[in-house]
Amino acid sequence: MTPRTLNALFEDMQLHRLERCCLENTGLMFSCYLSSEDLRAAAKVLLEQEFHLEDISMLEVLEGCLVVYHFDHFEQPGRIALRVIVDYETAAIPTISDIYPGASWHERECRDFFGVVFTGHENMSPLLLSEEDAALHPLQKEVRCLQSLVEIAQPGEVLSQCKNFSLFASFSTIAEVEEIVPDQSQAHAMANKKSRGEQ
Amino acid sequence: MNGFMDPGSRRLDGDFYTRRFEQGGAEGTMILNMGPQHPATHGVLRIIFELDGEYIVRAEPVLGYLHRMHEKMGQSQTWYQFMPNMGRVDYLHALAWNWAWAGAVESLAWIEVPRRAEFIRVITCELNRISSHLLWWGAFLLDLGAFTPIMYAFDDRERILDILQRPTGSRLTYSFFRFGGVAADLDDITCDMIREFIPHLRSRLPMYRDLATDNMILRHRLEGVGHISKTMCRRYGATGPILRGAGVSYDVRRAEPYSVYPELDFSIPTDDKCDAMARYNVRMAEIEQSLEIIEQALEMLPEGDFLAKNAPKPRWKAPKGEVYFAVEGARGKIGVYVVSHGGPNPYRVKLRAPGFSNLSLFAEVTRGTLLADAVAILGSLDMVIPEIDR
Repeated sequence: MTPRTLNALFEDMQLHRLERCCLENTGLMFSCYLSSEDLRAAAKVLLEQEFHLEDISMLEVLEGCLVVYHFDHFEQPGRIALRVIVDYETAAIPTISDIYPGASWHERECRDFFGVVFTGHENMSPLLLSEEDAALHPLQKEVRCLQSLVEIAQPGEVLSQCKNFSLFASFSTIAEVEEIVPDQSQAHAMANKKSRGEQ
Repeated sequence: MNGFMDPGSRRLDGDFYTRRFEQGGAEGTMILNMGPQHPATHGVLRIIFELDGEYIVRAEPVLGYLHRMHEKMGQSQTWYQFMPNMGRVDYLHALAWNWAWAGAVESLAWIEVPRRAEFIRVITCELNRISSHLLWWGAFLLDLGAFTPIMYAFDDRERILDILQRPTGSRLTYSFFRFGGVAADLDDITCDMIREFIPHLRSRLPMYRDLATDNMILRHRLEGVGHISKTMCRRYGATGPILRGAGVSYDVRRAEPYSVYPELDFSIPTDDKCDAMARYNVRMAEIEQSLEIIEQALEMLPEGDFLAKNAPKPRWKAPKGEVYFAVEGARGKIGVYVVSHGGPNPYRVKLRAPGFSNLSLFAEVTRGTLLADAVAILGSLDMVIPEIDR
């Protein structure tokens, strides 16, 4: 898999950022940020290209909830991570469980642990937690513990980046954001968390 | 088993999952709860079936009875303190999980592992894989009604536990690996015990074949049952012997080589019949391959340290970054995704259990099969419930 073939595969959608990662240090070959609208199309492309889904995991950071999909290939191994950032306010992302049925349980697990809803999933009932604990979300972090994604992520070699994509900002505010200082994004996350707590 | 319902009068009783499942039922079918305390579910797995006579219309596994939230424990303990948890995630192949955690942290922090330690890891991990496969073999045949094999399997497994007890100090939930090596060296007595064990198990394998593999009853129960194709594996992310039983030569030890596996000569057994018998054959062949690996690794075992001189101390903090590290467990690809913010404990730990993805295809593969075959299929998936529920 070369960056060119990857770009050709995803030509119909807008990749926010494509990185080539250090395989030894991260276990990833490519890391790809995209918007939640393009996620299902990207999953379909990867299924056609005979990739399999390894897991879906979440990472709560100041910028929002980062959903990471790990894909790998049986014949040409090389891990690709699709990353989507969702707002704490909406906390919803389209399901890919009708494309990859194996995603169904991973998505239910993410809902259990983080409270993010996968829209279009036919059965969002708790999987690992019991039904009384459905609102518990044990892996949610307190706002004071949140770290900035830019601080913790190891940026690989950036192959392409969308002009108005800013790691510091959540996707909903890309258009108006030129530069965001970390303090403001913290306040933004704080407000998001607060409103989530009130619900 | 409980939950029998009179088809004429649908009473909505039972717990949350039964009630939810019943709502989609067709006319004239029966809802049956198998588990959580059922001998064929190996631990506490529960499956709700909708049956038309003896045929399965729908099935839904209900998980979570052994859920312990290992990921949360990982995030609230130090890097070192999380190691014993790994032996408890999958107690049958504990060393592979040890390796997954140690390997993830080592690649995150660029920690060098001495060559001797790498070989000790390979030897102990492969011994553990054999013991896991032996227990699966005995328990699987027990599910199918053959009582004797598990006695032979436990006899041989016991020898492996005796060997592994010497360096690791435990018999089941090993916590043997350290960042930058292993906790103890393999002494001469242990090496001799392993050298004795290899020909012993090799001499037992033909007996296993005569006793069980070539048995007509077993073959009738397994051949053509539970067809899991390569495409289905891909859609569900199934790995390990299930995938190799669908004819795909995929093994993390070869696909994403780690440690000294590239230097060792072994083959990846596959079988393209896609049925329960294929998965059975793959596992039996894997025992032989693991013996090959151990034999070579013992031969090549170099002198040196078993733990790096500059190995992290207990209060050590990992540098910032994120890493995904995969190893081949007895049940498939074990993945650990760790994110560090440079603090005393990990920022995020995600454990990818192979059994979780493998079991998720159960509902699809059992649709339209007999209930008795579902037990054979379940056994052929080789599940360890604590690993699935984590």
